[in-house]
Amino acid sequence: MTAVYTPFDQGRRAQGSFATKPTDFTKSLRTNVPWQILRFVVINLKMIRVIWKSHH
Amino acid sequence: MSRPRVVILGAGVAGHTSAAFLRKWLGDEAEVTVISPRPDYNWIPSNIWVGVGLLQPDQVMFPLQPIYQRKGITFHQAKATVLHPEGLDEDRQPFVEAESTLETSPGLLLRVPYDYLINATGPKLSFEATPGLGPRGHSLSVCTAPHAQEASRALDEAVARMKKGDRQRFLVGTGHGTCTCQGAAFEYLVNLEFELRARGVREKADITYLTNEFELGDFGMGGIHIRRGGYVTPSNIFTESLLAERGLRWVTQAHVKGLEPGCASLEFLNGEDGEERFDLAMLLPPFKGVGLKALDRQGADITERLFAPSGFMRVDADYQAKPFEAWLASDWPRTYQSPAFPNIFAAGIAFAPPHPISRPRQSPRGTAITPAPPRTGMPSAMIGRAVARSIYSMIWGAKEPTTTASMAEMGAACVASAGNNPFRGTAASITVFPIVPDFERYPEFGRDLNHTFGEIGLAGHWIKILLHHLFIYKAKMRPFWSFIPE
Repeated sequence: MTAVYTPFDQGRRAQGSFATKPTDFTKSLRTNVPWQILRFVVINLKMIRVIWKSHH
Repeated sequence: MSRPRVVILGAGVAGHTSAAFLRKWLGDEAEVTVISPRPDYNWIPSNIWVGVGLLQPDQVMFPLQPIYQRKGITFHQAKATVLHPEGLDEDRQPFVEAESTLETSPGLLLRVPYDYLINATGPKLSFEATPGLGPRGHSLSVCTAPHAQEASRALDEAVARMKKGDRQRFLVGTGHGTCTCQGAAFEYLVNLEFELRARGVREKADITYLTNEFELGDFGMGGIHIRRGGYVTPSNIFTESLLAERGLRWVTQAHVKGLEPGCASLEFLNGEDGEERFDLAMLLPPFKGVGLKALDRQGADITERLFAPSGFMRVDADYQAKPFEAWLASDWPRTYQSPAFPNIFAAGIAFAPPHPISRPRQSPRGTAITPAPPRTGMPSAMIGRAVARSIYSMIWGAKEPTTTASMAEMGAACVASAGNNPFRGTAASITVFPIVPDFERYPEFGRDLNHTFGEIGLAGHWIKILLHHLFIYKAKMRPFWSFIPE
C-alpha cells in the first residue's frame, strides 16, 4: 500500500540545527590509532559473527 | 554420456562466485561456461575511490580470460539476448543465444547449450529513465570503473576552477524516484567532501545530497536501528549527524524529472516541484533487468513466464501484491530457482525481489518515490554460492535445490568509506541481521539488535582497504581463495 506524503520543510535554515553532533572527544577517538587498533579487532569479530550466522 | 553443462550469464560478484565454486566442486565432472559482455571483472565497491581520483580503473578491474583459462572455465565475451529453455522442435536441448562483443567479431551470434543456467546478468543501468541523466547526458556516475574515471576527471576540473577562486556546486545522490544503491551515493558524497578538504578547496564547495529516501539513513532497507548510549537509535539520526558534521546539505523525498546542463528538475513526495543547480552532479540511475527474451520451442515469446515486467527473473519468491503491513520475510526467495524451469536460477541483482524493503510511497501525481531494495556484494556472493551448491547437488542426483540463501535469513557486513587516508580516513562499519527485516522473529525493530551494529572510525577504513585486497585476491582465484568468506 502506498502512503501519500504530508507536507514538510526542506528549508536549509532548519537543516542540521537539531542534528546530533559528535563531541571533540568522540571525533578524536575516531582517528586515535591505539583505540582504532582495538576497534579494528572488535569490529572484525562482530563482522565474523554475522558472516558465521549467515552461513549457518 | 557427455558432461553436464552449466552456463552462467554475467561475471559480476554473483556470476563469478558461482563459476568459481562450480569449478572447484565439480572439477572435470561438468563444463562450466561464463558469458559476459565485458572482458573484465570489476570490484564495484572500490569504484568510489576511482571516482575521486584515488585509484585507477586497473586497480579495481582485471581481465577474466586468463583466470578462466587457468581454471578451465570456458569464457565467451558476448551479450546474452535470448533464452531457449525448451530448445527447438527439432532439438530439445536448451540453449542461450548471445551476441559477441569482441572487437574482432562484433555481433557474431553464438548458440550455447546448457543443462543448468544461472542468470547473473546484474542490472541494466537505466539512465534513459530520466531525461538528461548519465554520462551521455548532464551527470556523472560511479557505477562502472570507466564512469568513475570520468567523474574523477570532472572533479579535477572543478577543483582547478575552485583554485582559481570560483565556487562550485556539487549534487550527489539518486537520479530517479525508484533508485537503489543509496549507500554508494552516500559513500561518494562523503569521500568527495573529504577529498575537497584534502585538496584545500572545501570552503569553495556547496555540496548537496539528493535522495529518493523518505528520510536519511533509509538506504533502501527501511533504515536500521542500533543500540548506542543507552538508546536504540535509528540510522537517520547517525546519517543526519554525519552530514551535519561535514556541513553537507540534503534534499530527501525527491524524484529527478530531468536534467539540463547545470540544473536538475525535481518532483517531491508532497507533489511540489523544485530544482537544484549544480556544476558537477553524480547521480545514480535506477536499475532494471538487462532485457533478456525467452522463446518456447516453436519460437513463441514466453518472456513473461520467466521475467517480471522490470526485466528481473522470477524465482521462488511470493510475488502476490499485498499491502506493506502484510509483507513477510518469507516472501523473499530462498533457492532462486525459476518456477517455470527448474534448471534455471537467478543470482545477485538479476532476481526479481517480491517487493521493496522500504515502505512504498508516491506523490499525489502518482510518481513512485521509494528506494528499490539493495542487493550488495555480500548477499550477491552468498546467493551465487548457494545457487552453485544447489546445481552441484542436482548434478549428483538431488531432485530439488539443496542450499538456501534468503536475504531475510542472512546478514550483511558493509563498510562505507568516509574518507581515504591511512591515518585520517574513516569509514562506517555496519552489520545488519537480517538484511530484510523479519517482524515475526524480531517484532519491534525487525532485526536482531545483537547483530546489528554501526560505528565510524579509522578502523573501518583499514577494514575497507583489507576487504578491497582480499576480495580482489579471491576473485582472481589465487591459492586458498575459497577460504575467504563471501
